[in-house]
Amino acid sequence: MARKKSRRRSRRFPLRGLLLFLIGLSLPFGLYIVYLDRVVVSQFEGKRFSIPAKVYARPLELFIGKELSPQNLLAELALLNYSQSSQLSQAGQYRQQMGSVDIFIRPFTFWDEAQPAQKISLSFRGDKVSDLRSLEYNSELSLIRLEPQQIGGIYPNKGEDRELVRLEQVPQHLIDALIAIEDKRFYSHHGIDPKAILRAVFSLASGSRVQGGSTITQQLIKNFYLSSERTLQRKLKEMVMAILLEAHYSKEEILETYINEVYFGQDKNRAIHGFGLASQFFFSQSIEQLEAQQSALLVGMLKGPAYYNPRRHPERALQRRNLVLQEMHEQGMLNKPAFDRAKQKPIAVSPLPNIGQSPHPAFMDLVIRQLTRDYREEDLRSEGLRIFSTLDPITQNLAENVMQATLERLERNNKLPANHLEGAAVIVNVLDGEVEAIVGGRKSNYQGFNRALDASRQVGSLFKPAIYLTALSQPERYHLASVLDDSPFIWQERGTEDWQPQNYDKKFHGAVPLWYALAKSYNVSAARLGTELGVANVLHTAKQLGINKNMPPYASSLLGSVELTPYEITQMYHTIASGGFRTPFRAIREVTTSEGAPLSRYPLSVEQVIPALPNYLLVKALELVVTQGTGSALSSILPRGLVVAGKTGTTDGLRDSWFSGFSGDKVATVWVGNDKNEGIKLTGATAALDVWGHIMKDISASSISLQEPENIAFMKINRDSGFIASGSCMNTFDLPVEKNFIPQEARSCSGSDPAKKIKSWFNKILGK
Amino acid sequence: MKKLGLCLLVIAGLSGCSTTYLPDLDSSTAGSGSNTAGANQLMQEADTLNRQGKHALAREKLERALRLEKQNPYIWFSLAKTHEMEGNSGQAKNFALRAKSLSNNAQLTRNIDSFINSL
Repeated sequence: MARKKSRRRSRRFPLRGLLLFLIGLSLPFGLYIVYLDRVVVSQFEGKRFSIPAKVYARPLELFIGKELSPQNLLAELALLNYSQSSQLSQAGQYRQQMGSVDIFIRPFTFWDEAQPAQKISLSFRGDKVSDLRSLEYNSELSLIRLEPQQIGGIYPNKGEDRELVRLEQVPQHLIDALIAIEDKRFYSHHGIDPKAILRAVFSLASGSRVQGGSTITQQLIKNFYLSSERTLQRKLKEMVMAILLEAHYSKEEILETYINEVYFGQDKNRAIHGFGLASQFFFSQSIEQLEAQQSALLVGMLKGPAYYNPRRHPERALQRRNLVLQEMHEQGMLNKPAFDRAKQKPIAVSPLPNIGQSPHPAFMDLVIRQLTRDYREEDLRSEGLRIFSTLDPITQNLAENVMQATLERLERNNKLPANHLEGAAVIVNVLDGEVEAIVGGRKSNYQGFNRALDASRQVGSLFKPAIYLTALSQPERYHLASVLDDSPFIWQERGTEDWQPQNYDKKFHGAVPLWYALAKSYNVSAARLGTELGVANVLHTAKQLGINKNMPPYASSLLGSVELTPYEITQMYHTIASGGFRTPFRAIREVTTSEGAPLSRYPLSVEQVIPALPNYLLVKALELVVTQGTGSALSSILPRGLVVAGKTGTTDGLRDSWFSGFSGDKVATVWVGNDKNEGIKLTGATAALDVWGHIMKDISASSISLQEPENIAFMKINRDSGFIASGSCMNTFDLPVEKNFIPQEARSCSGSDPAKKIKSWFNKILGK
Repeated sequence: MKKLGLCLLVIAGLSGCSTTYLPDLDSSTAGSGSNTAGANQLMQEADTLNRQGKHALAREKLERALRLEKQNPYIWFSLAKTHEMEGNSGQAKNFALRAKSLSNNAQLTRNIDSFINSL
């Protein structure tokens, strides 16, 4: 009996054991499936992609009467990757004719409205737009914008960049090409293709590595969830997850995600993902505009984005493209004539756009600093924000070119070692404080130390306008021709060493008129004046003008021992240039979501901080710096008749060369120096002024035209002495003065400067 | 008499042709001071938005107009008035002062002064 039982047990045991074994095996497997299902769903349900923020330059506004040369328009079109075509058959093309330019403008969603694609024609009279018409309606247009240049992005940490597209936007021929070459049975299988599995098994059995045959769904799973290792375990996991994905989501959802996911190669540190961005990157076109042969080229690249890169390997890419077209034709997706036409077309990729690494990293730096005050870094890197900046690419490019060319020339002409000089520049619009350009160094396209924002250097005589403005704000005591004392001066202050300022020429000039002391940048008379006024009062004026940094309350601050960046000192000159109105600088106009919904605006704000009259007098004095003082070398650079104002600055040991000044529409500061703080053997007038003048010349700056404030009168100034002229003087010019405080201290026509007396005598003899 | 009639006809015709937009100012302030149809269009749009109570959008339009004609005191004044409508009298005053600093029209200057005094 016992034996019988035992036999029965032994007969039943394998069955029971097998059952238990299967249950034991399937339970963890089942749990694993549930786990994978959660993984698949959770990532697909949430935010599928991190979309970088895009930063745009200002859009170019076009309207009748706009100051714009045809050359600058063409430069803008080149930046936007417009191509020349006589047909204007698609957006992104232009044609040039005698005196006019026709453009097929691309569609673009601005922060305030969407602008459709349209054909326009611009006519020019000189450097002005004289006519603006719609070519489609043959009617006059009052205003239109070109889409802005993308000047950079703020990328997720992995560096992935993509432009999301919806399946409705994708041309049918692109979908056809994908199906034809990547997954013929995409619409009929359930995530995996049995034939592909068999192929994988055979390749494993034959000893070769597991490879190939993945469906689109499997590829998506691999890219989205898994590593790229090629093992059987990973392959099995991929297949299970593909089936799960198909069980939860429609073919359309899977295809759309795949189209946005796929990788198209690197652009420096940026990874190009998705067909939306790829069509921009390779053809400068939106995905909707792609033609069949372009779709085939992109689909063909998926097999090996680097190997089939059409810019590096056009022959390979062409062969692969034609293979895709052939497959489409054979599978009935492309008829014979369309196939023949597509096959004949050249590769025709656009020039490599300069987006990945911003072409203007110094400006981008400023944008990011302003953004990080209001947004979390994570959101900037993932939410696809669209940031509309104030950068003017034409001004920016001109400034960068001038900086590089001038520094090279200065090194050559002054026998300085190559790359001894560094430079920085800030250019801001006078009226609204929009930052138009930032040059962070001579190699402007390299990301690195941003001298415009971070190089705090002594500003030297650039600080002097704060002294003179403090004086001119007391019209009962000072006017432009007040007598200042430029004789030896020692300043003693408890707790500091005696301070004995010197003039640059190591001479003392005795009694000098106020305007002349500023024009010639005399240190001694400025220091005397500043201490008379009170250091604290002068520093207060500087604060009013926009210097937010704490400045040491010592007399040496008066002569610019204060360390400021080019950006900071530009704010001070900006307030002067804009009539005493302080306008905080802005590098950003608007931020929107990826769909174009407004998120934040950076509105214009102004505050009158300096009364109009003393500010006006200071501007006149700074104009005299340029016509008769240390800035007079500008006359050989700038167009005749252009009225500008500014101030040179040079620091001890000729370490820093500065020029800050303004025209009617632009304020600019230029610094030239050396990163090691070594002497550069150049003054403000010989280096920074040179760069400043050429920038202003190239950007076609306009003359200063400040309105005369109320209560202005004019006093006659003796050209020889610079002081107020007596009634009998002939050689005079006018300077403004407050009407209620017209000075009565006229000097004789002979003046006070012996050298000038001799010069005047010679002039009389020579009949000048 | 015939000459006078002709003159009146010409003046009437000219004013009929004019499309110059008058921002929300006294009718005695002749025109928007605008030289471009673009800025005119934006000022009109801003005026419509202001009437709808959409002052932030109106400021957006006016700031865009300002980029086209930065020295136009009428646009600065319109910005001042928009700030005033939003209850921001500080900025309204500053923008009005800026408009005044750019104005070379005596009537406009008087209007700005009375606007500032009313704040």
